[in-house]
Amino acid sequence: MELSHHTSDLDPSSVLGFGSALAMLDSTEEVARLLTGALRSMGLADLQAVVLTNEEDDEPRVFGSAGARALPDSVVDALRQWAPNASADADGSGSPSHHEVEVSPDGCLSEHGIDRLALVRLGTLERDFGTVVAGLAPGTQHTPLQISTLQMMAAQASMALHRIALDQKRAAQEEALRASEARYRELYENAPAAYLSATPDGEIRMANRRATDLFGASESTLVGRTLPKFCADTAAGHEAAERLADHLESGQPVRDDEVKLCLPDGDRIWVSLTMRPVALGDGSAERLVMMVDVTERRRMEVALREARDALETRVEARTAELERANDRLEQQTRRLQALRDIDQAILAAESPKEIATETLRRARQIIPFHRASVSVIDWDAGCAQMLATRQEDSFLEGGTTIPLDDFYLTDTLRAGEPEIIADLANRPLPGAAARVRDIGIRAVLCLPMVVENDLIGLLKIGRTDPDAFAQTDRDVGTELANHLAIALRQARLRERVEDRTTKLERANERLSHQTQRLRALRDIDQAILAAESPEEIAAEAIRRVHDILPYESATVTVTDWDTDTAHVLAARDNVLAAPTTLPLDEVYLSDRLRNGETEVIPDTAYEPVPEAKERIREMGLRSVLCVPMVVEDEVIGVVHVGRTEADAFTDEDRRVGRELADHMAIALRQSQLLEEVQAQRERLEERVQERTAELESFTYSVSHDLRTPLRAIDGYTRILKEDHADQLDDEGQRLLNVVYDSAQTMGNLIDDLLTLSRLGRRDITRAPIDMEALVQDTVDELRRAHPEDATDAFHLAPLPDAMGDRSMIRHVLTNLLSNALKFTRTEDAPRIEVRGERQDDECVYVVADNGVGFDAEQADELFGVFQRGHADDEFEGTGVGLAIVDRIVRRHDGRAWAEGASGDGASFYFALPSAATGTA
Amino acid sequence: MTSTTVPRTVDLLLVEDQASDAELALRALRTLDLDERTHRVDDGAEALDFLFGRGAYADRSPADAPGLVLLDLKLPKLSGHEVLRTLKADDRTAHIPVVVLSSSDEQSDVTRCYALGANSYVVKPVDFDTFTETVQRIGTYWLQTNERVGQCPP
Repeated sequence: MELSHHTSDLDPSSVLGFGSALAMLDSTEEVARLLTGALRSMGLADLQAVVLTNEEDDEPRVFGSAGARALPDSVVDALRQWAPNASADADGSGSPSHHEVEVSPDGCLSEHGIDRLALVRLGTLERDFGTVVAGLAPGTQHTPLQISTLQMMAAQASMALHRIALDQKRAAQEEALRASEARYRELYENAPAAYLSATPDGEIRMANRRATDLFGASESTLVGRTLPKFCADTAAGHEAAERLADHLESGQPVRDDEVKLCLPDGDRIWVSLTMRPVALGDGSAERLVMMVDVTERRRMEVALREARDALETRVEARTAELERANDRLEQQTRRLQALRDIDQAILAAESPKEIATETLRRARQIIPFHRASVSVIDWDAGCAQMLATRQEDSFLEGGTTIPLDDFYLTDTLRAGEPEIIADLANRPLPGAAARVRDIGIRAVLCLPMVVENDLIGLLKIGRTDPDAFAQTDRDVGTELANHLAIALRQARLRERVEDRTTKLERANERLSHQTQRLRALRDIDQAILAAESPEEIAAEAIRRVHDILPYESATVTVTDWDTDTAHVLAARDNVLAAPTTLPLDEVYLSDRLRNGETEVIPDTAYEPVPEAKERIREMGLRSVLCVPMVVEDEVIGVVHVGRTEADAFTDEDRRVGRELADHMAIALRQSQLLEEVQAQRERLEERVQERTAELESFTYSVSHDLRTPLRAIDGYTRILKEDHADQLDDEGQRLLNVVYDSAQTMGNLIDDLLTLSRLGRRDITRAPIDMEALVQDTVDELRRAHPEDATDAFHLAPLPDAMGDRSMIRHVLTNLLSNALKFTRTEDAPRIEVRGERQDDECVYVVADNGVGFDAEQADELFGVFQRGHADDEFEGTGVGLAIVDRIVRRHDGRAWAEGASGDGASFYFALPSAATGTA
Repeated sequence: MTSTTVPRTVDLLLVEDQASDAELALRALRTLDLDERTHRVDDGAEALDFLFGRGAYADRSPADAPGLVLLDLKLPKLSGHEVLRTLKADDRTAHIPVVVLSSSDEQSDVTRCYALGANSYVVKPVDFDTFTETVQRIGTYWLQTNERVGQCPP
């Protein structure tokens, strides 16, 4: 590349002028501007700039111009890179260096017509200041002289920059010192405490503003004066002054919280003073004294102390007051508690006497006394009764009655007002009160007990010292008396109620006793009635009577005067066991007993009867109640009831025994009669059965034997009619028919009699019967047997089932239905109804027809054997059918009856025990 | 009637003390042509004599047993029950059918007869027509319908 030299001229004088101009400058900017101006004016560059580094690593500053124009920002930015750095300084030469670099052809420098830069370092050996940049247009080049000039100018600028840097540093240090001084002065002056400095002799050298304020004098007034002399001229002040002087002298640090000062204007203040030595730079020593005004604080403290003292005084006064109130309260509480104790004791007490005694036992807790008494007044009897009296610690026997005339009872007391007798001495008194005075009582508190405006008594409290009662005693006593009055009133009411209750209870007891006795006797009666034998009667009676007539042993004996024996029917807890038969002479039986009189005898009464005596001894019985059983003036036996205590039977026991024996006598007699009747009946029944059997057997054989001749009559009559009719005329034929019909009738009669007789012997086999089906069967059979009859006459209603022997009941139905059929035969519209219903515990069935009926008077006779309601030739029949019906129904424990009227139909009823009861 | 007129062949032995009943029975049997072959005895002892070939009937052998015994219960000398017991207790006669024809309709009689081995029990009807019909039925059944022991066909 061909380069032309820079065309500017170099003037060495201008270089020298540059040096002296630099000496005039005192800022780096001015140096930079002078340098770039010199480069331009000396034609050393087409674009000239100085890049200055900054000590604080800020961006390097760029100064310069391109020709006469200022550098555009883009160029400034591009030039910053040429600030010196570690790499640029790598050669470490320290001398101003010069080198050239080419610029990038497409950079902004190139746009401004620069293609190379000549760079010269600004700096000393110790540090870099920056770089001088000379931009060259293409084709231009620095001559060696120009390069030297550049280097020289750079060196001069570097020196100037170094000088400026040093000047700046010094100026900064001076400024810092000034600022520090001012700050300390300010602190000192404005410190919140007063500061003084003084010599060890106490001479004030300096005082800050607070100190001058404190002393109310200017610093100049204070300086030179001796500090300890400001202490107050009191004894304490002198001591403080001496102490301060000593410390100032010795330099020993000290703090004195309460120093009283006397100020130049005469005011006195309290300060807290602190002193410490300070070593000055010149080797001399001073004392720094700090003072804080504590006058106000001290004043507050004093005020506070005074206030506290006042408060304490008040608190003490108040406390004392409260304690007094508390004492009063406690006293009151004690009294209330005592009253409550008394109330509780009173409530637990059962009688007025006890109430009074318990009250006096406790009353001393409320009112101390030597003697006290409780009396009640009986206005009707005109006297007062002492319920309780306590003298010192002993209780006197109560119950004394004092006539009211002899009793201290004033109008005041009568009006219900308490009264204090200050001194019993030297005043007229009724007898009782005089006696109290005689035993040394001087003062008495009389307290009336009033209930509902009635004075019921007095509580009197006495002491041996006169004038012993105060108003409070009176009040407390009144309250006590009131409590006592109410309790006494309650006790009296309770006593009355209890009295009434007791009376009622006694009456009730008597009643219930009587009721129990009656009930027991009734039970005995019932048991006796239910009993089946004399032994059972006797056993039940003595078993049950034990509840109302307790005993250790009992027997029931019946006497048989004919055989002279006694039969023991029943015995309980006895050596004899029932039934036993004894000779009469082994049984105690006095004349009184034989006469039917009740006896209560001791065991000794048995002496005449050794056997009986032995039994009584063995059982340990001491008394025996003997009650004869009498029926119709005849003694039939004796009831003995024994106890192991002597004389143990009361009149009540005798009455119970008497009643028992009477009941038993009747029962035994009844039982005896009943047994006789029973035996009689059994004998009769036996005979009836025998006779019945005989009769039935007879009937059976007769009926049986009758059949054969009957069959012969029937048979031969028929043969005669069939084989020999032609030999008989009409009359003969008629007579033959009569024979024949009679035979038929007789046959039926025999059949019925046989049935009847058989019913007496046959056993009944009971089973449920479907009556509807059975009736239907029977009807069907009748229809078959009597096709000629109007068999549509039957009307069957629903029937309840029966319980019985099916074949027998069938017989009943057959008889009744065929009867009905028979007796409706003459009717135009025969109607036969069968109905039935369950009634209570039986089933009632009825066969009712609209036939010829019967005479109502006959109704009961119809069921007898051979009883016929109609003539033979009117309606055929044997007269046994209804007897059979009746027999069967009776054997079923049922009944049969008929209702009807002549020509008005008939209803035949039979009732059978219903299925539920018939199953047995 | 007595044993003197014993038919050569006896199919039916009628034990009946009542002459009227016997006559009525025979009259009923006549219709069946059985009357000729019927022998009637009027007490129990004779009945046994006939059956066992004893006494008046010594010429008879027990082997010639009748085809049926029609037995009344109420009989002189020996009751119908005894006749039945003896007859049924003997091997030679036990097989002979016995129909009890009695007036008694007592259940005890019926039970007792069956216990003794009666083949049938019929209550004598009182009514003539019924009686005739009953006897005829018995004859028809036992002598003409029933097969008897040891009777070989001719």
